[in-house]
Amino acid sequence: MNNKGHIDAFSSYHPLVNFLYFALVLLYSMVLMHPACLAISLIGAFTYSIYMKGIKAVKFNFFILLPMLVVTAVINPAFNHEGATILTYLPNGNPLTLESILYGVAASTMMAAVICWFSCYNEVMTSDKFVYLFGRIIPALSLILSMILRFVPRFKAQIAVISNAQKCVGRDISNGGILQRARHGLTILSIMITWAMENAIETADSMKSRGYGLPGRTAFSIFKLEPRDKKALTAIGGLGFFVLLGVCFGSLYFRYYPTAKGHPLGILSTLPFLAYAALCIVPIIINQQEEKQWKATQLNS
Amino acid sequence: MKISRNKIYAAIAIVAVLVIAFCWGGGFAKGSPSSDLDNKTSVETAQKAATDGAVKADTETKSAIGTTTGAVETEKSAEAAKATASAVKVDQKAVAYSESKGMKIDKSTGKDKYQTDPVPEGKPIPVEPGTANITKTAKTCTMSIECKTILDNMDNLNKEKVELVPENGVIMPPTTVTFYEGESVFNLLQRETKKNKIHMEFVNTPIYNSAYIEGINNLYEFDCGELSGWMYKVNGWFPNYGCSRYVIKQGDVIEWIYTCDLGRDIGGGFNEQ
Repeated sequence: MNNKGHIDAFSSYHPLVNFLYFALVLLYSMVLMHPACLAISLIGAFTYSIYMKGIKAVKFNFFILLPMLVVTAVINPAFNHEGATILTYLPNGNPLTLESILYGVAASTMMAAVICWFSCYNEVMTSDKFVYLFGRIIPALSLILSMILRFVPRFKAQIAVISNAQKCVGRDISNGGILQRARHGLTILSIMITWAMENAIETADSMKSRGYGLPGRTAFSIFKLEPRDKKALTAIGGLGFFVLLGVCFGSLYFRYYPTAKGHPLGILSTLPFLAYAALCIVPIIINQQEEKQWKATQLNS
Repeated sequence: MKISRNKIYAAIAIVAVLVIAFCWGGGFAKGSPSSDLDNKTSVETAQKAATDGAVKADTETKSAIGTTTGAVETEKSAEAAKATASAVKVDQKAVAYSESKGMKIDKSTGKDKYQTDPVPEGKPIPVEPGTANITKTAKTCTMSIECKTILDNMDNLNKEKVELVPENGVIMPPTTVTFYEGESVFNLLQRETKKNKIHMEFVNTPIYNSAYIEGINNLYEFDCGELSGWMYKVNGWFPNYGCSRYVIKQGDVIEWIYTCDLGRDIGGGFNEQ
């Protein structure tokens, strides 16, 4: 693994493939509360994000997401006392139950996995891809969504620009005493918000003047549904459907209250889990294959 | 604004979602098909009750006010009736009785500072948990926990909870238990559930200065329809204040009963007593 991560071949696939993949994975991560599904999803998300972003993702996953997971896991049993297995009683008189702890762990795992998947989503589904997919069907909404989705990264980039400019005139948050720093920070924030509002209006005006969303307007795109895209689409769709079948037949069923209980495991009922795991690592497989092909074409390897 | 085909579709979609939500939800109406009728009659009885001077809100059924528009109307009309009917008559006996026992009732609202109506004659008045004097004198009383009403409303019950309901609906049969003088019904419930390893969750509600029992034996409020929850009864009476404020006396018979219809199915309904 190198520090900057690998070049992601999955990103070069058709936007439809990318979107279907993330839609399915995010949906299943949020809906399937079976511990095995959550573990698969978390591991899949961590693997893909680290594969793609390298050391940056390792830092984020292990120093921000994991501590957050622990904190949120502890919060649930503090407020929720449902469950049949009473371990002990809390100082306020309510019971501490095994089920509430398990549910807390499950819910926080789900949250960490979804956040991690979204970080991958942001990397792969750039706004041009999103607008390409939804620009025709829901022009206004897709523009707003793509603006919202890149809001945070853009904000971060712009705040660095402003902060640097302020540093030049000695008014950055690194200058002066505490009070002055706070004041400088507020000024930077105010500049930031002014810029954001102006920028939003400018974007809207700019898109309007280009005739965005008007009927009959065509849009140039470089995306083409190639045979490899179709193959990937079938694979992702098929695996997704198989997991859905598992949901329908109840083999992914799991409940936490009043007692933690799931569908008994059998040979047949483990198949949806395998399908889910396969679905989660589709991009990794694609990347590996691509890499193998690339290496095969090198003359002196 | 130009009306385009898409906008019409959007409008139709929104209306469809609302209609589906309307038909799907409204679980409280499931149990009582004549809920409209119930509301009307309850308004009438409320007016009657108001003029008679005996409107009671049970603190246990804290969700009663505002759960249905009917209930809100009931309150409003009851208040209107109170205002128009001679104000002298209102709760006169109960007020006099409660005040003679030391309950401080606000003249403008007709309630004490924890939203409790005057206690009917002959019943004990609430004692605030902070001021109660618990001694070491051990006494006995009878306590039971049951959820027989769920047996009649099994189709409304949360599916995951079915296994928790005992076949005869009795979670704790009437048992003679020991308590210490000055303890409240809540203290006893907490100790007994701990002792018998029965799950119980409560939350303190400062506005009523009492604990509110959310669930016993993992059967929670709202688990069996929107009007379900736990109520308590002492010597055949549903106190109109919370269980932390009811001080037990020797030989009291305490019953914890699960209701599926805001107390109406167990004879402890709002405005009924």
